[in-house]
Amino acid sequence: MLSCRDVVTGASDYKDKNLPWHGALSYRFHLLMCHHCRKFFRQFVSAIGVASTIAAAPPSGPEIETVVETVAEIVAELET
Amino acid sequence: MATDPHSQEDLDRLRAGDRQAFSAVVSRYHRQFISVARAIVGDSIAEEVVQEAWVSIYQALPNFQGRSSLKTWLYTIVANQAKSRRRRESRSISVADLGETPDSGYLSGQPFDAEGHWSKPPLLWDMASPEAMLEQAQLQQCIEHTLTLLPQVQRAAFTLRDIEQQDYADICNMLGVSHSNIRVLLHRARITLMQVIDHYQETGEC
Repeated sequence: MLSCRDVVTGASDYKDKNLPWHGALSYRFHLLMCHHCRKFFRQFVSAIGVASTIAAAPPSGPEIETVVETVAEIVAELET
Repeated sequence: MATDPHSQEDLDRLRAGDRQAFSAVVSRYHRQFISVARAIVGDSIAEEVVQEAWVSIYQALPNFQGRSSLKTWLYTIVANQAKSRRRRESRSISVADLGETPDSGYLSGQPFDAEGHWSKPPLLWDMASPEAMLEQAQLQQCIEHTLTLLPQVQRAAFTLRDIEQQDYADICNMLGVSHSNIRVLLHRARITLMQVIDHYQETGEC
């Protein structure tokens, strides 16, 4: 029988489907029975979504242009 | 595996050496590549390694055959470039790079009683929707700052899994870390970021 501590420890494994079928079943059953853990897991998934959206923001235009120009210069040098 | 976000038209333009298409790819992936490279070679030479990888990518794009997704192909080049450089620099990812077991927060055991039940359950967030949270400029800054403080390998694992939806096997291969360690790294990164939001929801501050 999973504890709430186990639910926190195993949240990534459950989310990413890394648990064996019986482990996933136990996890899911615990979530059905425990409103604190349901809240935790829902907010855990939400946090991942928010953080990954923020982390994926592209860099500035000038930074990209610098990278692209440098690549073009190096490639041009290599080809001469 | 996630579907390739790049259209056939994007791929054709990249193969043809279209600079605008290449710029779009650089824009899309550059920061994530830096994160992965840092995890493998460390801060000081990560940007140099990624620059070298972009040159390799640019030269190899005309021959990209599409056997894997473009995203996976790009990340493989960057990871291989970084690992090659790491071998030359004789650096390896150490256990210390995994980060320490936290002494507070969800992973410390403190919110639980001796039986493992919540003694300090999580607070219900006022801002429940991701959209509402993404509108909070200060929360964005908190998360961006926390990302810079994560151990580099944790950040790379988070980048590859949660931004790029790479398979665990590919992540292990790219970072040269075992499956069990990737699970630990990723979970610690996710919990750290969640706790930032927890704290913000409670206090309005980072």
